[in-house]
Amino acid sequence: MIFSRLSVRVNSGSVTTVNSPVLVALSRGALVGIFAVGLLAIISGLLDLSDSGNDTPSFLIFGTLITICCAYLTRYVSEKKLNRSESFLAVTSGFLSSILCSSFIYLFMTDEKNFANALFESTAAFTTTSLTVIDFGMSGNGLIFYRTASQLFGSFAAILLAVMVLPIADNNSRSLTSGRHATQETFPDRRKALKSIASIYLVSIVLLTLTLLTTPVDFFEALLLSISSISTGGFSISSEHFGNSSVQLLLSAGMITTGMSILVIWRLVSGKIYSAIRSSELHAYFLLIVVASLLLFLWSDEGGTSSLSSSLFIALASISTTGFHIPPFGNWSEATAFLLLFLVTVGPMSLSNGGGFQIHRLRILIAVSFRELVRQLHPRAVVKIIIGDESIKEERVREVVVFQFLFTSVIFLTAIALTISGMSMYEGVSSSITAISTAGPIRNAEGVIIEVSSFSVGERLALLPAMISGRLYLIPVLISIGYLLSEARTFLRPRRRLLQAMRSDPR
Amino acid sequence: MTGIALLFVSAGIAVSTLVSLFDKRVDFIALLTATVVIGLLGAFFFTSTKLGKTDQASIFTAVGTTWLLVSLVGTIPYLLAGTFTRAGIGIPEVLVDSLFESVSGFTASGSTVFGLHNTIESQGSGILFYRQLTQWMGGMGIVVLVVSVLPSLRASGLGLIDAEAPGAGVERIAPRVVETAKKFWYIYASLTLLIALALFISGMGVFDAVSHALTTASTGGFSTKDSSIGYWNSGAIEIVVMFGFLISAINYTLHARSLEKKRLDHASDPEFKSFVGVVATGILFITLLLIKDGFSVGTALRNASFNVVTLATSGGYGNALGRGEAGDFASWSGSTQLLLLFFIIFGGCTGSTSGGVKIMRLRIGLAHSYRILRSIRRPRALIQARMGNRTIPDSLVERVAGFVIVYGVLVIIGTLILTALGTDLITSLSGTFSTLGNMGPGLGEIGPTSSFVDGFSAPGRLLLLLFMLIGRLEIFPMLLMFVVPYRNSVKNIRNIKRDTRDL
Repeated sequence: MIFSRLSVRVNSGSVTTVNSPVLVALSRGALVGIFAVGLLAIISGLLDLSDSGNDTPSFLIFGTLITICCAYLTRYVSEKKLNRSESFLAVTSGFLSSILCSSFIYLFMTDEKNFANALFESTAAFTTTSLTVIDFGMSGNGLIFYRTASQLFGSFAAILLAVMVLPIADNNSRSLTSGRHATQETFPDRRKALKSIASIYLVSIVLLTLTLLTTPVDFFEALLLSISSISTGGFSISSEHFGNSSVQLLLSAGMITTGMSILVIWRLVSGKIYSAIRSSELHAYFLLIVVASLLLFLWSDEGGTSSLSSSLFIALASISTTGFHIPPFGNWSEATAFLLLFLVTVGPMSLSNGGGFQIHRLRILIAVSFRELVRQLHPRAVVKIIIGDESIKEERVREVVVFQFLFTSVIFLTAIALTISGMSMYEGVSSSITAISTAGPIRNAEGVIIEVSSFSVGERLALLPAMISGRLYLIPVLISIGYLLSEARTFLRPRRRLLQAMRSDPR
Repeated sequence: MTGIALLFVSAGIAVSTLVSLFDKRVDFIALLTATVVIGLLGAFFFTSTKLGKTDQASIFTAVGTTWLLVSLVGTIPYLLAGTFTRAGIGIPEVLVDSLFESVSGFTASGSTVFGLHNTIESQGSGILFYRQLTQWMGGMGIVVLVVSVLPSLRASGLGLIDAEAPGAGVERIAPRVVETAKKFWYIYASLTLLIALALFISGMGVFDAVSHALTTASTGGFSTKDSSIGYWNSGAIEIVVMFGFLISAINYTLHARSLEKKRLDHASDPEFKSFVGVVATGILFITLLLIKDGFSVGTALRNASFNVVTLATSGGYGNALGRGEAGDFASWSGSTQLLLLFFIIFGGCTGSTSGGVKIMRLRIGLAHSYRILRSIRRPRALIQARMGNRTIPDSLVERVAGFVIVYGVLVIIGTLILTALGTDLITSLSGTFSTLGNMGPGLGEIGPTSSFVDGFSAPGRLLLLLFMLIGRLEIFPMLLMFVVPYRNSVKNIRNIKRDTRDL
């Protein structure tokens, strides 16, 4: 029993199960991730029957195989409760496994023969980053649906992480996302949370698809646009419809919804309208949308209602981090470029589908800066940070400060990696901000969209860590890495291992 | 306090007037007039004001007002000598340029509006010496200078120094505040003398050696030549300048302690160790990147060392012979520029003459992040953020966080306004960082061989000079200097209302 922490299998009744905490977390996450990919593949295969059906066999075989394998392997993983670090590791592992597994679909079912590109496409899809390197122009409906639906899976996983895993994992003292009490009040148990969020997703997509059918968009494209909009993935096979004002306005409505906190949406649909519209974060979110749209409209120098709707659309695509690919205005100033980068960095409300820093955190930081101004005048004053009606705990403030520090560090390190390979400073910084905020597209200073396919393989790979950590709210990924490193260190130090084993088994 | 500060400025201009005597007396009359006018103003302020309330808000008002007034009167020599008057521009732009140069001088920023349109070398030595002297006076701090000669300030002296000094507070190095201020100035003056001597030995003329010593010790970066240090193209001079900058960018308390103990006490300071580590790593990385971009090993090492040191210490000299030459970092690759931007942002150590966010704040940020990540993993563990052997109190972390956030907000606002005024994003962003950090040059259109006139319109320069003042006083005193006047005016309005009601 000396090596109990290492033990991979412990006999538990008739089934031998994986019992090491690290391996339980890793395998549990991986099985869920791969299982989801299998399900997605089966659905996509069936949907491909509406088109040529060429990809149906491949999708069905792949999907069925991996779902059966995962279902079978589940019995070998212990059902023990995971602690905080293990929960984070499980989520990260699940996310990475689905990305890796999905990249094989792109590798074998498209013309893409470069694994790095397949991996990038898969990561962009699951992290809901509006970047693509594969040309889906000639692909069947099944594959296009798979690409689009992966975004929904990624977005759904992220919101579940924010609503379920993070608050439940830290019942004792702290929270990583905003409104822990409100989250637990609204979704007291996991099952209810899962059901509620899934129903919100489903209803939003159905409603948006149906309304899009009133515009010159066919059903399949309407479905894709709805999924891309609600999941904040921003993937679309063509951008021709984005010029249409009615499409723009409908998608804008979708993006406004997806940028709202899931709590606010749930309160709205469950009739607690007053409680929902009282949210000060919601007010800030709308204020940001209005101010950004007006500034873009003024700077575009074009005038007219179509320009106003384009401004709103571009502002929302940035704030919600959806990132639909819309060509730049005729008059694209440097201020427009900076404003869009700022909006992408800030992102939408917390507990929404979007990425970025998120408005609640930004408000906490602004409150911290005001507190500092007050403290300069009254050094001994006890100044609490109050956002809306909520008094923010100091622990939460410190976490937000750390989040800001880490967020900036990841942007800087990614930008360094990109510029080393020859990218200009502007493009490097802009790409890294886009990646960590899981937004898109990447634009140059003139607003022209830079295709990621023009990037070198190294540059594309350099974006992946930022995309993944950005989608998983950064801290869980870092905690997972720290946990893995610490376990590896324990594994490599026999004396420490012995001590731990003695502690766990005094015999 | 403002009166004494103005008298010091007047004395500085008087010295410059004497220097102009050796130079065909080009600016003699202008400088003499400025000496008299500013001297009279200083005397007037000194005699007509008395020490009032010394709460925190009043201290901010006093320090902020002093810096504003000194910067304003600092334009007088430029205006009288017609330094920035040229064909095709109006009086408002001349005023903006004079104020920009004056603020850049006193805040020891080193950003300049001289350029190909109006060269430095075409100016008289009196004006040039005055320009260098403004940086020297501002480098250690006008308020520190005033406190060292004004014993009547007593306890509020430390508060005043604290409001002006860069970093998270000033440590007393002597029992009395006046003694502390004097010690700082003695070290500063001695260092200046040493640098001047070393520069002279390295091959500079007396005038240039003294002028550059003034702006090296203050980590200001003004030069008497258009191509700055690049004019001499001398490795020895560059080494002297680098050492000068490095010593000046280290906490002066460490220097004072070392002098007191008669042995170097620097290695025990965690901030010093981090600073040296960061600079060395920066030099190494940038040298490698420059070699990758096709520079020879020697050229890469020389240019990387000089420019990393000059930016990490917020010095701001350039060693490029011209635009696009080897030392012009604005023409280097994206990765090197991004690394240099890091140095532009963070600058040197607290309690030194350098600007920027400071390495200590970076270290506190790192230590705090590590602590929070560990405490999330182990919620029941009592984990402290540490720097060296010392525990970092939460109050200090909060102060640092508050400072960095306000800094960030100012950068975003500044960049947005500058880009809206038509400047490109990289120039705007680096210009904002550079001026807030009192750095001098930036990237894009405001590289080491460029003028701020090339990069920014007059309103843009006006905003940047405001940022230099805000950055020099580490943000808060400048932002809060209007609290007392605001309170007073509210009180007055209330009194008037009450009187009216009584009537």
